[in-house]
Amino acid sequence: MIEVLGNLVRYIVILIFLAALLEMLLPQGVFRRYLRMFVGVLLIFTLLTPLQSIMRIAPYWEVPVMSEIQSTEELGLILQRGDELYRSNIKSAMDDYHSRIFKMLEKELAREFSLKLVELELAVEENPDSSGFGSLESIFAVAKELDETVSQTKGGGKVEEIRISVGIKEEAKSPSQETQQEAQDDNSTEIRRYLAAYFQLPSNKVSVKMLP
Amino acid sequence: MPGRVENEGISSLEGWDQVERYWNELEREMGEFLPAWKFSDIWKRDGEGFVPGLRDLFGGLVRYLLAEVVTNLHLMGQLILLAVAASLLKSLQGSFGSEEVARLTEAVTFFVLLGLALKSFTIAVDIGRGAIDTMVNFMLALVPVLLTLMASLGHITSATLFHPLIIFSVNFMASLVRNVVFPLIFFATILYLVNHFSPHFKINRLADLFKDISIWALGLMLTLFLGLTAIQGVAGGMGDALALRTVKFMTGSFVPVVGKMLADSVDTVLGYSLLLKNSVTITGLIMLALIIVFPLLKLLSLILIYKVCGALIQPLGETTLGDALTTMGNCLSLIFAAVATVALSFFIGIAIILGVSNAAVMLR
Repeated sequence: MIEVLGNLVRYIVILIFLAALLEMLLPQGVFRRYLRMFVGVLLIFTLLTPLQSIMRIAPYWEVPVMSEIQSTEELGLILQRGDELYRSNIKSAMDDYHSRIFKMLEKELAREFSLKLVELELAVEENPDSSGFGSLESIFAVAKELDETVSQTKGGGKVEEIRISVGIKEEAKSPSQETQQEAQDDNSTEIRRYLAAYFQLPSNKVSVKMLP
Repeated sequence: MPGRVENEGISSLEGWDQVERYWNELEREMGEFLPAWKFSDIWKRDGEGFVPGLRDLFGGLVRYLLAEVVTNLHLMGQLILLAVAASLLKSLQGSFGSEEVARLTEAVTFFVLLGLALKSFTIAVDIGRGAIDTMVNFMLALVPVLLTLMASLGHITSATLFHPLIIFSVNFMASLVRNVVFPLIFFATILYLVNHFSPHFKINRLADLFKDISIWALGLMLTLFLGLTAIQGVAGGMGDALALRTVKFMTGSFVPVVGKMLADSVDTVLGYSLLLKNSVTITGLIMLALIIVFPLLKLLSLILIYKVCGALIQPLGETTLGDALTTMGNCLSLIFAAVATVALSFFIGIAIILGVSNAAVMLR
């Protein structure tokens, strides 16, 4: 269609230049008037002729841009990359979540039992699409007595290790724990009940081991 | 901390090297007019909240405009000489044997002007086409990065809705302007100039028609693009916000004791991701502005030359030539407007993408 319009403009320009030249060549008088009328009619026909060809090709006019639309593969790639970044973000969030629980548990153990939390391992539902996303499944913590920390730095003293586990998994009893189990039974039961109540879990889901 | 997250996060994004390539090209071609920026400086802020070196940038743009005007001064000289010659010949009209000889000299002058005008117009159209091609390629490099970041925030609906719309719109607008609007403006210019040639044969109404069609096409294109993008943005943003709000509510409410901690952790991390996305978007906007501003200034310098010549020639009494030069300036303004319209629609489209994600997070 643009080519048709281009041809139209070319014809008009050539016609006007020729008409102006002819007007210069013709003598003054009635001939110039006739020339102007004739050129005017010719201009009208020149303008109308391409219109009918435009009307003919209009139903078949295609916008070439339709073939330039990218396939859905690119969208799939974008969504896949986005999903990977999203999973990476969720992992960062879980790491932050872990550190917040660590700080919270550290304060609780120090306040209630005068224990220092050394290590904490969490098993958490990490699938963000799951209904139980973020639920605690098991906790394994290693702690030691707060007042023994000072003697530890002086190079002496025994570290009393306490193992706390919450959840279905049963902690394997090591020989060193069994030897101290009778002496620390009352303490571990108290800690277990406290943690079960704190995390709102049934008592049989909680097991506590105190290591010598 | 946020600055470090932005620097490290942005550089590691897949596809970002394509965007950075445009900055390197811009620096190579226009480095003397840009402040001494590194690529990472674009998303930094000084204490007042502005991009550092903004004053230097404006100074550079003014220097560029003046440099282009100086480059085109030879064109101004040619036009003024032409006008003086035409005026002289007109005043010597009485010395010629017949009026037709005088008119023939006018015709020759006009043909010379037509030749100069067509040459300038071809340069202007090439500048416009080049600018639009560069903008389209830049958008096709930037949009996948933005949509990836959008998807990383969990805004899947928005990313899925925007992708085909943006890709189609960008290509369609560029195709429409290159293949329809520019040719129509060119035809209108020729007809306007030829209209000045003869006092008896007038075709300015046809030229007006072509000009009006091109302006309507630009306006319709801009309105449709912005309207569709805004509607898609609202629909996608609401969908994403509702979905994510449900997840947050469930996490915060059904996981006892520590559920809120998890919700806060997720919010913190996604907040950093949003900061990253906003930085990328603003960088993209600034780069788009820099890509388009130099071609627009080039066009502006050409428009200024023709308008100034038209004004200077008028006292000579040579009205035909003066009118033709002013008409030429007006037609070049149409080219300027077409390029600026495409740039504006891309600009607002990216801003809408920025707003959609932020709105979804706010609703969350």
